[in-house]
Amino acid sequence: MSTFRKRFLTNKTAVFCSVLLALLCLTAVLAPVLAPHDPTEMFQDHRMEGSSADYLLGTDQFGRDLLSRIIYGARVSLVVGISAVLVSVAFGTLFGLIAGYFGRWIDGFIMRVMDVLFAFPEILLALAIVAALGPGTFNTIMAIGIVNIPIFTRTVRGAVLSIKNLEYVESARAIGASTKRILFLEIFPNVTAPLLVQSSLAISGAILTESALSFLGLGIQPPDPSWGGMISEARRYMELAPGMIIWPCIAMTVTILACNMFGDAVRDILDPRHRSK
Amino acid sequence: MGSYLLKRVASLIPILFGISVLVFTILHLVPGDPASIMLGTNATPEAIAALNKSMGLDQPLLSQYMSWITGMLQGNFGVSVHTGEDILPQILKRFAITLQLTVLGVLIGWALAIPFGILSAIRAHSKTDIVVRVATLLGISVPNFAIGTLLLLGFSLYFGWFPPIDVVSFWEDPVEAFKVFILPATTMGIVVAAGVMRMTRSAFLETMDKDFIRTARAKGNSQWTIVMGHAFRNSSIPIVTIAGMQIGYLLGGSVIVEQLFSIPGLGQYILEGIYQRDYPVVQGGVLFVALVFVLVNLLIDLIYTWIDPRIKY
Repeated sequence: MSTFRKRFLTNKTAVFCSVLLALLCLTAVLAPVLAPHDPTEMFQDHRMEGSSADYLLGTDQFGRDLLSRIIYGARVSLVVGISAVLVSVAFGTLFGLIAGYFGRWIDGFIMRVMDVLFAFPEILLALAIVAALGPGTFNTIMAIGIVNIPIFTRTVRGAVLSIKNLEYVESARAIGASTKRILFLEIFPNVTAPLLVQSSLAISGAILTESALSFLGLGIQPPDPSWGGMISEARRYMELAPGMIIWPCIAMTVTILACNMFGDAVRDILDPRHRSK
Repeated sequence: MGSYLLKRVASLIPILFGISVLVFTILHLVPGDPASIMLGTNATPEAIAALNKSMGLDQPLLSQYMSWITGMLQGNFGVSVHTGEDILPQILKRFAITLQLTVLGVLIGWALAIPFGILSAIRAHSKTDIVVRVATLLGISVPNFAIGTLLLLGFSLYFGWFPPIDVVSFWEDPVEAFKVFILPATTMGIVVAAGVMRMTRSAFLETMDKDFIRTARAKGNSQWTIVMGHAFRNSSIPIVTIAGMQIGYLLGGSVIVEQLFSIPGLGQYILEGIYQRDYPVVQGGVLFVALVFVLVNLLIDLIYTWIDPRIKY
């Protein structure tokens, strides 16, 4: 672990992106303190204004402060992104451990189910699930979570297959360790590295999907601010107040870029074969 | 090859079965009574009972699935609850539009990605390379609806130009169709380009390190011959893989792009189905896209054997 820490600290991209992501998380957590106004409060006399001392990034069509909405939007994006990935990691890890360790028909069955989930374009499957369950924050998290389960199942299964016949696992078996102990205490700690890489890449994907669902009006419901929803609302006024589109786009791009670059950097650190040339 | 094709097609059967079960389940995940949700709050009990009967929703689940899947296999996708029209002809009509959009998007994406990807690999670590890599990262990180919205904003603010509203196909009026499709296809193309460019660069970097390239260089071949004649085909497997995945992504992503640019393609049809709670439309549309996606993947597998004859199944 200490070599990991050393490599991590000497990797400029990894350090820069983790600082950026930490700042974003801090912004999300401290949203009520940082936001200058209530994100849903309408200042009717200040509709679609440009930036000013009171409204740093201007206001939207209802006179709501854009900066406050973007700050609260960070909260929504990160909460949905992280929760959805936690759902996928939990189920994906469980299925992957079981499939990889037990093999045979259990493996065959689990992996065929995953193949079926893989047979749908991501956004379409998420849309279909939201169509059935209805829009809203919880259903958005579940839909994105379910869509990403196969990626984690495959990642963990692959890692388990390469580990399960190693000597230390056999010796655990030889001293009579239970299957549960072997799976969760012997094998699981060794699949955390690929899980970490996959998770940071999946969070950016989850944020993208959430914003797309909200853009289509099927994700986070108004008046709660979400970046995708803000861009969708702003389309009608784009020539009058381009800032309403541009600021949420920048916020979203920076967040997703940071997640993607962080994921790439961690992969480079953990897996020298993957080092980008 | 023939036996491989048979095996590969046979392996699709459980997947197709799984897809059909999943799509069938969508309707039954709906909380409450699907018929009354589809008809809305003003529906009379008689109308609800009639819809339940016509869609077979009063039957046991297994027989519902059996009659649904039998209908699908015979090309009967049912009728729209909202308009009463047959669903399959609508799907085919709208898929023709989505297909034109997707093909143009893919062409734009590849035209951007492959030359710049190669350039960035053969001039690794140069300024060109850095610009290409930053552009790639941005392309992966900006959502397609943001790219589309910004393109619309840019063209309307600076050029005072909007794409025409009436959608025509390329065989009716190629010039007008080009005007209709160019912005949405560019939106798709930028996202495609980012993924393909990344893959092209890393595939070429790997190939250019190989011994046969050194031999080709030692024989005094020009850079052009080495890249196009020797490296290109040998780098193309991962590029084709990612390109195939991108086509699937585009079929899904078309939902957003079509909605943004008001293009009446298959994506918009599915979305209208979702907004109007017209579940047979949603089921038919999603099933159709999944089938196309599976077939595209099969095609990609077959293309491998053509690119690299060493691959034998």
